[in-house]
Amino acid sequence: MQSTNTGRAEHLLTVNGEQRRVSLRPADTLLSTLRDELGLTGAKPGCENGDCGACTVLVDGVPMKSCLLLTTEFVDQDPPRSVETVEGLDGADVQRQFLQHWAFQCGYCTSGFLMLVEGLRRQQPEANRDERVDWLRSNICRCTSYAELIHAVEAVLGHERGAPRSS
Amino acid sequence: MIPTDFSYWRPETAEEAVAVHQQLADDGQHPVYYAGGTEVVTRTRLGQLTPGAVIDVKAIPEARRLGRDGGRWHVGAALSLADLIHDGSWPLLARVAERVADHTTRSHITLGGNLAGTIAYREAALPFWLADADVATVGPHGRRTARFHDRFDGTLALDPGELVVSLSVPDGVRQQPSYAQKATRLDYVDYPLVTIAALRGAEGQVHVALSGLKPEPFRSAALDAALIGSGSSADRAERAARHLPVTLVQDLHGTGDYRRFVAQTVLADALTALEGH
Amino acid sequence: MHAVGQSVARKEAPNKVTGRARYNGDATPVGTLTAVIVPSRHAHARLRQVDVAPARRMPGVVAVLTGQDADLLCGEVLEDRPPLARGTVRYHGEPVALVIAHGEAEARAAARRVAIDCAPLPLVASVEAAVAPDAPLIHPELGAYKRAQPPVVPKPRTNIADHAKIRRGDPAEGWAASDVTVSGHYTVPQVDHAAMETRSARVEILHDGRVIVQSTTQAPFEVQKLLAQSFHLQQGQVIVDVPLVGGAFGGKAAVQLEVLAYLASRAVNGRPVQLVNSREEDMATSPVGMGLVADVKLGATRDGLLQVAELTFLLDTGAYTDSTPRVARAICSECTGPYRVENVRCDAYTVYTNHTYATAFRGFGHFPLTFAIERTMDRLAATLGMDPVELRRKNLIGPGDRTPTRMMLTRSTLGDPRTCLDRAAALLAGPPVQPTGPHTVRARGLALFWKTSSSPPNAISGALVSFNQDGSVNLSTGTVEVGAGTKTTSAQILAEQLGIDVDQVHIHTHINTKVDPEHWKTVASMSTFMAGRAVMEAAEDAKAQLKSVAAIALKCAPGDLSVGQGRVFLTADPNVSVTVSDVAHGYSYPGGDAVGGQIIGRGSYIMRHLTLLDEETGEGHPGPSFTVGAQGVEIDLDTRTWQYRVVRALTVVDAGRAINPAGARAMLQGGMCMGIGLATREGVLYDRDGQRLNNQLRTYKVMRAGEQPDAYVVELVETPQIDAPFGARALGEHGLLAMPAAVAAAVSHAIGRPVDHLPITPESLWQLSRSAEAAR
Ligand SMILES: Cc1cc2nc3c(=O)[nH]c(=O)nc-3n(C[C@H](O)[C@H](O)[C@H](O)COP(=O)(O)OP(=O)(O)OC[C@H]3O[C@@H](n4cnc5c(N)ncnc54)[C@H](O)[C@@H]3O)c2cc1C
Ligand code: FES
Ligand code: FES
Repeated sequence: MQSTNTGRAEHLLTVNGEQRRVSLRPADTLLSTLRDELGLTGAKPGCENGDCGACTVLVDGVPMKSCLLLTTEFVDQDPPRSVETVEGLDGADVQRQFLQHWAFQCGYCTSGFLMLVEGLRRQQPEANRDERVDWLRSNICRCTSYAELIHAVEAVLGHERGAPRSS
Repeated sequence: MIPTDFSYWRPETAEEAVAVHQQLADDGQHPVYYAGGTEVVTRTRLGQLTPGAVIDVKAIPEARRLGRDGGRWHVGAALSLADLIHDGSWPLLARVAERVADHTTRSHITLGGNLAGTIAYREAALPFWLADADVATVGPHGRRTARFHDRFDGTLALDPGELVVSLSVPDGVRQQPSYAQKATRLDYVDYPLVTIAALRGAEGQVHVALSGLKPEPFRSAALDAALIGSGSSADRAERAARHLPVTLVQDLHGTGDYRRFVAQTVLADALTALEGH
Repeated sequence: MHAVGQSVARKEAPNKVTGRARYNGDATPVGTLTAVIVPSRHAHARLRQVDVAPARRMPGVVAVLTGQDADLLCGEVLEDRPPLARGTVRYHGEPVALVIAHGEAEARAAARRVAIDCAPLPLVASVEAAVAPDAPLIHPELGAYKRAQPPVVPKPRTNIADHAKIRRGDPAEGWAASDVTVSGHYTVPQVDHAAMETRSARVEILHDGRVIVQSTTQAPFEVQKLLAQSFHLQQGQVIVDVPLVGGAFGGKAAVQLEVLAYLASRAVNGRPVQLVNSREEDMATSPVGMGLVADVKLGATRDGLLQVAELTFLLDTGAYTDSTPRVARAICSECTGPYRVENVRCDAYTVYTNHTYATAFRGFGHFPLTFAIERTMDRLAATLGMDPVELRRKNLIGPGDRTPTRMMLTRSTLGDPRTCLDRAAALLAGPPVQPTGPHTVRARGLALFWKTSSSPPNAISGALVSFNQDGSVNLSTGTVEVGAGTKTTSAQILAEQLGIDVDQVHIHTHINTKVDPEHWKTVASMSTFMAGRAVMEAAEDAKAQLKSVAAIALKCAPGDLSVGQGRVFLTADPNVSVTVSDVAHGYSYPGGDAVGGQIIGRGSYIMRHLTLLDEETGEGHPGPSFTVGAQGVEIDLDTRTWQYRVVRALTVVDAGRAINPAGARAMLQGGMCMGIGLATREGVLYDRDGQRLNNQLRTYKVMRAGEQPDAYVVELVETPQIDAPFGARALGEHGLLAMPAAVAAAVSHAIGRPVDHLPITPESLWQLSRSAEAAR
């Protein structure tokens, strides 16, 4: 049985394809490890309660809210568990489409939405309109009207039909 | 940011989990099982929970089982709601699960956590409550399989340290006509005013279980009985609604009176959907 | 080369899609201590004892402060708020103590050990209760508070912190001339800004006397002034640095955490201390948007001409005033809505309650005001049996008319409300309500808004332009980038003025009070106007300097020259030219000797001809211009369940000129979405003990994907504001202003009964239908 004692210790965590040495307490959330230990501040705290999605990252390709995860679950695994953050997206289509479609204003929710949509693209590229919206409901954006985000998703998934339209 | 410290344990069998739980409890560590963590992490952050140890149950293979065996369909307690929706082989369960929390969070929340959690809506319990389910647990006194009905009255009666391993339902239940609906104050992603799960039996009789009306899920034989008989769905729903608890939850989502109104509406909808009139 | 009128992407956009954009919480230097607020669990109580000893003994704790350690009162207008409660707590969540520790975990763990002993005082749970004759007093010391920024008119020995008025014409005459009278009573709850980034501040006091503040503020220069004043520092000692801000909506214009972080740093020998709100703290401890209770009475002739308006507003400012007295005056200034009314009596009271204190919220009081006015206009239309659009058209204010503050309007200052109304009405064509199924209906509603800035008459802005050796340009302004694209707009204006590509303009998205010229505050949608004017002046200044150096090089008079496309050239013969880089850092003769020097363009702007409102009559000049517009919605409503959804939303607004059309649209649509949220679901809730019920995004509901309308329609009318950069009017807040009123109008049509309270939840409609049934 794997166990980790209270207190700080060093572990290996795979983030964006790189093995990183992290010092952590078992009580550290993945969000705080990414931000405070690894300097990967793309994932944002918006609520630390699972409500806003600003902290969304991909775990083994699936969007997860990093404020709800304990880092300890993902360290020293063989084969390693994969954690991907916005910093690992390198010129991805989703980034281009967010730029194209004005899918953000203040940008604080953006990393979370990007990872959510990247997860959608990988997991369910054929998602219909309702399914896409259901994915998007996981995150909150206080600035945009959501229409911009939905347009960006449509562009990423490559089908533009049956979508809400703005003029 | 979780301000307090705890140790982390990841057992590989249920027995190991229970043993380590007992050991830690004896040491005064206040251990908790940790599955999806959506409650454990958030409540610990807020100081509503201060475990000295968390025992991750997600590495226990039998708590992740999913499939048929001996005429029953088994589902592991450590599976996420997303897993159950993705499987989709029990439409009622999938439909109820689909409306818990939001898409991403459903990849976190587990069936067991939802049944055993403090946040008392326990929507995922509703289908099992209607379905002649069994619940398999391991506790300090060993393994036990019991009728879900006998251990769940809105709250799952677990002994200290007892771990839910899996649930099962008769295989055929999954094909029975069913209906689920979640009514909220307004938002799609919200706690329920009323969530209804309804299952139509072989003889045509509709059974319902409801979440949101009382602090815990609710069902009543008298209410189910009132759904039988003549009259329109609306009429029978009105009759059945008289068997709802006298006082209903009153909170920021809605008043008790409004919940009663909503409950009556969803009862009527369930009857209409399952009977076609 | 045209930069203005182009949909240029935000300068910082590439960083925002790569996680590289830096917000305040993203770069905490090692060694920074963490401060955590210990909030009050009571809404109104006398503090008997705050025992910090157990917290002080916790590992990692460096200091614990209470009100004893902070002998000062804060307040933008009226100094009524101790940064840490002293003697009394006045709202649930109010800071009582501050724990400073090496890390957040230690600070939070210790904060739980602070024991607050207090004796409950009678609760003032609403503005109505607060103004009742025998109401318990929340601020018995009201009369003694210092008035930091008059006008403010407190009523000592009451809960009325301020009374603002409009007295115009003769209401008695107006009533005499009226054939019909309508009145309405409206309520709007307090609302939360819910910016996705919570508020935070970091302060370090250096031993050379400098105070370094890093914060999420929209008002860095206000923070600087306030800290200097409160702690007897030279203003130059205080350096406020603000990176990108993750949404603000007015909530980050209030100065709160900066003071606490200063106190914390001071208590630990100036070491850097940061204070980052959790979401729960951001919602319950930091200020919200005010609530409003409004009584509106209108009189009109039989043919629908307004004769008189009498309005009473009770503004729920919660426990402290912050900027609410200014909001009250903004409401007074536009209290009639964009309609011509000669006889006006308006009283706006800033009322203390035991609620979370309030500060500016996007629209500065205008969405609740618009709700109250537009609902009453619909009532009047119904009473007269007149089409609501026709009634509005008849009474629309226009050039030559005077506003409630007696400001004379021109086409430039007002814009074109008529075209906005007509276009919106055309876009919303259809019956007010029509059945779409056995128990479903589609309904439509329309409402108008107007708003001016209500900024201080001496609000200022500045801009500095410098050149790089290659001729590219650096621009520095004092605005904060909160998501509105302000910095990019300024860059576009500069590019246009210098005739260069926007890519050639370099901005820094951070602002720093030490190096950037002062800009009043990034609020009131005034950044494009004020900073834009300053940028234009700086561009002119730089051009004049370029020409004077180039004139030497080209052996001509500066007046013969023009600047554009990176060159200074003879207007008459553009082939005779020098490049900007040849002259921006001095011009070198072929022999190597040089003339001229580094060219630095400076520009500044100060509001002009604005005046404070007269205390008795409200007469004055509250803003440079108006933005007017019309908004409409279509909703689908189920009369069986009372569930409904906004399916289409439209805005026609006089934008003056859209400097960045896509940016303007995005801003307006975002505002519309927020406005629909305010209409349908948002509202701060307290239980009967005054405890905040919804202090999380789990329970304080904002719009999510799928809840937005299927279609947003935005049309821009362009009536230039002559004195604004390229004619551009303010747009940042306006998308939301009339949305709640429009939704209420549509829902009222759908259910056949007036809906006067926000938010409009299905339960509220069910309750309305029940009370109507009971009344039958
Ligand atoms: C954003 C969000 C939205 C939500 N919305 C809803 C909603 O709409 N409806 C709803 O019902 N709930 C909702 N919840 C609550 C969530 O469903 C509960 O927190 C859930 O029950 C917890 O499941 P978990 O797997 O995350 O449990 P954990 O946090 O891991 O555990 C919860 C509790 O169950 C115990 N436990 C876990 N697994 C077992 C087991 N196998 N045997 C015995 N005990 C066990 C743990 O010890 C703990 O006490 C929401 C939560 C979030 C974060
Ligand atoms: S910070 Fe994780 S969901 Fe909000
Ligand atoms: S862009 Fe500001 S929250 Fe989404």
